[in-house]
Amino acid sequence: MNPVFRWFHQLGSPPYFYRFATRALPWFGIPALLLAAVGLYLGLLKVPADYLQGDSFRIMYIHVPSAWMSMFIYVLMAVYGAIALIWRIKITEILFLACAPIGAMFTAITLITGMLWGKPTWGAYWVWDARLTSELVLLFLYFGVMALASAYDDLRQGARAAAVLALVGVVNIPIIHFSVQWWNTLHQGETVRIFGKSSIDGSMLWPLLIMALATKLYFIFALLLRARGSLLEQERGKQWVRDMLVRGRA
Amino acid sequence: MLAWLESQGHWGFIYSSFAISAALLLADLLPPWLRQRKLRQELRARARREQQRGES
Repeated sequence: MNPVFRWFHQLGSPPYFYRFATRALPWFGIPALLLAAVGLYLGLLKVPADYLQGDSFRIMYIHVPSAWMSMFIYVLMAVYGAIALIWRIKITEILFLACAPIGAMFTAITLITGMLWGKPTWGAYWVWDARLTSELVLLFLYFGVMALASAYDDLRQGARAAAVLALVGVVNIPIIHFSVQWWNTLHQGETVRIFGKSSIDGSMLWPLLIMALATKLYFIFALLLRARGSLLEQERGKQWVRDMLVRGRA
Repeated sequence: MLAWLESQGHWGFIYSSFAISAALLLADLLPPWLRQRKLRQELRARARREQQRGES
């Protein structure tokens, strides 16, 4: 078997996943912290103020990466949900459930920092604009997934029910992304493009990309941490857990 | 409170954004980490007790 496929296959084993998560945690947590420190230093202290918005644009360094993460995590959660529904792999059910609170946290940060950016820029904390409203719907979807999953006594059954809701909610992601093109919104249009020229100056772009990488690494760290805890709770009666905790091997 | 925040100018909004984000991040990270630590300690103590009982 191809080594990459074999590695993915092995990750489905709870002891292997637990050991992998324990080893991988510092490799994601420490770089995330360092990159966030660099990104915030550059974004807050080094980048010049915007000619139109003044200093308030610096909120972008937390708002934009959080917004990207809120959508990315939802799509990933739906993928895990689909795998959990089709193949019923325990690890993917755990990863699916671990995604929801982290995604909700990033969505809440997006909405709150957006409100705090909106006041000095638009003169209002909140407007029922298509982008803001669809992002609020995303927060409710995350809450719905968490509430539905916890409504079942059996965690695995709850995960599968919530996966259906997560899959239906995916329709909201293109609505959020294209809302600034489809409707006439107060929210600004796309400024950072993967393909094509970004309308943001290079000096302002680099700290943003560093912060985006920091949030990605933080997400992997938080996901592995939550998944490892959830796995330990579910497998607490198993022999491999006893072996690992007493003799330090899994 | 909002009037006070608005009187601080742009940096008031910037600091508030970062403070709220940091608080949400800690609220996301600390509870599962602490719960997991407690569970590991409980399971380790139980496993050692069972092992000692088995040996004696």
